[in-house]
Amino acid sequence: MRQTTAQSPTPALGEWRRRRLIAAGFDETLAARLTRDGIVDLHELLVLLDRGCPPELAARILAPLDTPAAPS
Amino acid sequence: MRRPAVDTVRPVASEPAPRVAPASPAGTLDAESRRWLEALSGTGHARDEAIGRLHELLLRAARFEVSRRRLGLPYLRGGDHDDLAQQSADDALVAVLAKLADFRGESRFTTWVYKFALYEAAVKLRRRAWQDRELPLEPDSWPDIASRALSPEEHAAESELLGALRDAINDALSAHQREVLVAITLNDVPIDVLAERLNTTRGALYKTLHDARRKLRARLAAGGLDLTSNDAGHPR
Repeated sequence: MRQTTAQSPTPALGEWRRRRLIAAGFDETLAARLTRDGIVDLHELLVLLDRGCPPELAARILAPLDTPAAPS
Repeated sequence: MRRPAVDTVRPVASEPAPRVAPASPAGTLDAESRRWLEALSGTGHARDEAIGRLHELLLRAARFEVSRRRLGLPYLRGGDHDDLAQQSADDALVAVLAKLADFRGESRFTTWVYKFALYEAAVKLRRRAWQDRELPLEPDSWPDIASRALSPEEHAAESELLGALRDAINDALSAHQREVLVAITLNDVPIDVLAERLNTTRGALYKTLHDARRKLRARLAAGGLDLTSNDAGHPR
């Protein structure tokens, strides 16, 4: 799985990503956490959701291996 | 935000040169291209000097491309043009050095590297054009695809096809597939812009587009619609 480079998004981009995730079914807390650091591949998240994966599990699957899992 | 071009170049210059094994036999290269390759594949001051000259060349190419598109870029302010050209030249330089071994000598070396600068400039201009803009992920309206005078029968056939296509996009695709397809194919969002927004790769989006098109083709074929083109290039 592709690991993206950690790069904090601009506020506008972060907000756009957050709204995309909420529209796709992520709750607000999880969406905010996923978009805060700009690490997670949103496309892969949404592909997993398309295949029926619950949002929380999709987030865990795509969480970078080298960072501690945030409490859900 | 202006990036210092020289500072971004220097770390590349100080690193050891990658081993370069041009795909083209050395004997087929023109003398100037061979000199470029030898200098860039070398070490020390000669290589640093060649990298500096290469960056100047790329910067000229990037400035040319940005300037050529200037009239269509009302959103750019004065300093933005040179800033984009500098960024394009920097990234093109890194790309050229990484792909030096791929140079086949089918054109002059300077012609080959020019394309890197033009490509980087084009990508950056596209991204800038969409910066801070909302990406349309739903079709605003269905385009009028008919580009020629149609007979009543042809018009009816095309209307049927478009209706079936709209239904297939709504019913056969997953939510995210639909958004990607609509954004890129109907609303002309550049794929690299969408990839940047989603923090993903162009390849991942191409895969999704490919899957979506395959689904649509299968759905339309199942409905008895043949998408192969006739001699006039129109769907039958």
